[in-house]
Amino acid sequence: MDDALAEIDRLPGRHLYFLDDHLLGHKRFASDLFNGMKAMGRVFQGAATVDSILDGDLIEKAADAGLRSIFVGFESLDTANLKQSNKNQNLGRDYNRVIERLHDLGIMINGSFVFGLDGDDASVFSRTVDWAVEQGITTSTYHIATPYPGTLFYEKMKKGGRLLTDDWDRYDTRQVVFEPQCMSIDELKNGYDQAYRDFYSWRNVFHGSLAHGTRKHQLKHFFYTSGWKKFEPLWNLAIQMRQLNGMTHLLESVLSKVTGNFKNAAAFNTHTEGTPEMSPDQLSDINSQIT
Amino acid sequence: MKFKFILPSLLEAESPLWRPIKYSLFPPLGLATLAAYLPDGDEAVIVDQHVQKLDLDDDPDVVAIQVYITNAKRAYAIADQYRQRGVKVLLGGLHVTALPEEAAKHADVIFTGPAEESFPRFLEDLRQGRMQRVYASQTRSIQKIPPIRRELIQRRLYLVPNSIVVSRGCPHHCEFCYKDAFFKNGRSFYTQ
Repeated sequence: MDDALAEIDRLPGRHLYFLDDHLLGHKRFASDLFNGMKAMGRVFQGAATVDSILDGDLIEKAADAGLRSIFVGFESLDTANLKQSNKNQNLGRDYNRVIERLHDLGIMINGSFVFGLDGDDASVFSRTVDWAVEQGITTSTYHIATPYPGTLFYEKMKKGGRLLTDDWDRYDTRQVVFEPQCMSIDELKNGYDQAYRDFYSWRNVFHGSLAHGTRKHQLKHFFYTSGWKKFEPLWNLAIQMRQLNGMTHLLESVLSKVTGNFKNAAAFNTHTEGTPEMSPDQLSDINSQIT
Repeated sequence: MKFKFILPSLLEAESPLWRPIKYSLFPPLGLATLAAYLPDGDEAVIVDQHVQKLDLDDDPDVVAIQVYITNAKRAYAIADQYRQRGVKVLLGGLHVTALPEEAAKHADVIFTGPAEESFPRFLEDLRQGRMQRVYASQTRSIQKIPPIRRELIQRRLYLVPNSIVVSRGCPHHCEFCYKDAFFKNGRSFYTQ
């Protein structure tokens, strides 16, 4: 634990991204970590499971310590799919309650979904996208189910004679490499592509933003989602200029706090509780780096 | 000795649908973690092909390559080139652990599972001249490990240079996930 906190302390700036598979997986460790981070003034992102978000008050502690956005593997809205995949931590959990809880704490959600498990037919794509938009999930990551060698899923597909190729280059979760049960290969591939197009359509970006209670959270959702998917030339320019790090400030400002007592909750740029938003200086600094 | 740690770019990073930003988010923390086990006096460089040019006309003593499923072919091609010139090549990562026989054809040494214990064991063997072909993870802990070598990471090339990992694995066992394969024969969830 001390090593983890010391490492965090050594990192410059405010923003952190925990790449742990499951940041809330060990309750005591996570609780100690968040307690230790509380006074550090960080904003951070991480990943956790559906059940851990509903269990106890760990997620509140995380929010207090600066958690502003979380990756959640919802995977599927279909119980049979979750059972078949042994993803028991999602079973019997109310996804809507998970989302409500996170949004009440001002935490944005990156929902991860997988398509093509045996319970999925061609109607799964629009159902999944519509649900995510309605719930105000900020960003969605979609995958075509991919049986990686070494996994039980792979063994099952192999035994069933359902693997289409052993060209590993195609195992990138964007291509179909096994025979789906309730739809065709083309339906799976096209439905996956369509899901991305639909979720990130301007219409749905607006619609999803409006799912939030406060104007500030709405704007944050809007900027985060559109920033991620709609400003490719800007990102590419920053990469070409080899100044991507300069964009990190922008990310920090979008991740700043949206809950609490606001003097003016309607203004995106409100300074609250010592959480510095980006100053005009920083903005012009970034502008000069990318233009 | 000169060590070169390489993360070859994933194949999808070159497709027409490639979004460069998606592959410029996180630096290769695993390689920087391993570099921390090198003794003082050894040189280390990390090359992440997603954000840097990979130059193969150099002369490191040891090359260590991190292999995922969609960079496997590229990783093997890089490995073959270095080995032809007598450079020792180490391969490790998810794909190597899933398919060790496949990877072994392109390596002097393969690592299966997490390498926080096996990599320093390898370094000791290398110095004693008794290098093995396969280093499988034996004991597992990330408590009291040397601090990650962040100075080997070029921060300005990443959107999220402050990426950090304080645990390994996960308490769950989803059938589509690599985790159980990677952490076979030992603990599959532990913290710092």
